[in-house]
Amino acid sequence: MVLLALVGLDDEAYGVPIAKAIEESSGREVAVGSVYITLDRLENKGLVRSHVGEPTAVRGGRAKTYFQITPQGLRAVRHAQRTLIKLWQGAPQLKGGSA
Amino acid sequence: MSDQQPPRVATWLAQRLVSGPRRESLLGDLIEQYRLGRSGMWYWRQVLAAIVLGNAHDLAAHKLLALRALTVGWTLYYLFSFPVTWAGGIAENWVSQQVIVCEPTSFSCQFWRNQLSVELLIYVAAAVSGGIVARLHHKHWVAMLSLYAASVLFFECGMIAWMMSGSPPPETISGGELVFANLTVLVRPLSVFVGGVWAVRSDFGSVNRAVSKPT
Repeated sequence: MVLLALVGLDDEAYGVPIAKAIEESSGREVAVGSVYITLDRLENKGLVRSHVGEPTAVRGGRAKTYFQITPQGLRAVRHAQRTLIKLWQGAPQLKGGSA
Repeated sequence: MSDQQPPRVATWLAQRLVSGPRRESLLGDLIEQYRLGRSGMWYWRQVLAAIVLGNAHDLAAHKLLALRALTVGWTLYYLFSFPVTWAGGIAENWVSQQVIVCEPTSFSCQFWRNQLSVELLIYVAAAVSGGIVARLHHKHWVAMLSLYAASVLFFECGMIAWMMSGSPPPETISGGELVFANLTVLVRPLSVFVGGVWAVRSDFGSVNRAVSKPT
């Protein structure tokens, strides 16, 4: 989910917009802290990269950390999509009808 | 956009207890959102979630360090019990002769004599052990100290349950007194935590930046 949100946000991706994008899709409040934990893990795996922006007064003098998906991350998203589609197609209960 | 200050206590806690290299970015995000109209309740929820999730992640990611923190903490807790028992006996004697002179059969008399002598020394020993655990696990001190304090709480609650199941409390103790006495079980883990915070307090200077107002 975090990787997909990153793809949609392009260069403007930092903690809050990512959390908001997930909130809008899932309809549930997301802890910004949990987004950062996931981003850290993804960065350690080389799926995202980050850079620190300029500190601003509106943020209490704190800088934003921007995140970008790497080519390896993009491949991981496509792989996850293919896996999900295969699993979806293999579940006859989900075809054609309403649950 | 508002220039309101976010809840100070929450910010203070976040600056000290949120774990991980992104703490400042996370806090900046929360302050920005608060000033864009999010509620104080939202801010508090986010800070508490960041503290709990970040430190739980620390524990999961550093299991050996967590085991070391528990081993160090409990070894110290055990080793300190010898001088505490010895000094506690002397202190209790002195307190009962000089400070609390009362009818020894009364529960409150025994309770306060014990609190001001043996228990007080145990609280100090617990604080010192917490301080050493925090110092030895400097990078993840909140997670490791919380784990150790939680284990002390768990142990003490177990001891109380075991003692109460073995023999019912004497009839001279009222229900209120019993509840109060049992609540003091919280003081030992609290001492562990306070000792840990005290030991790493010098690091707080680096995060002691005031939340400036937007221009």
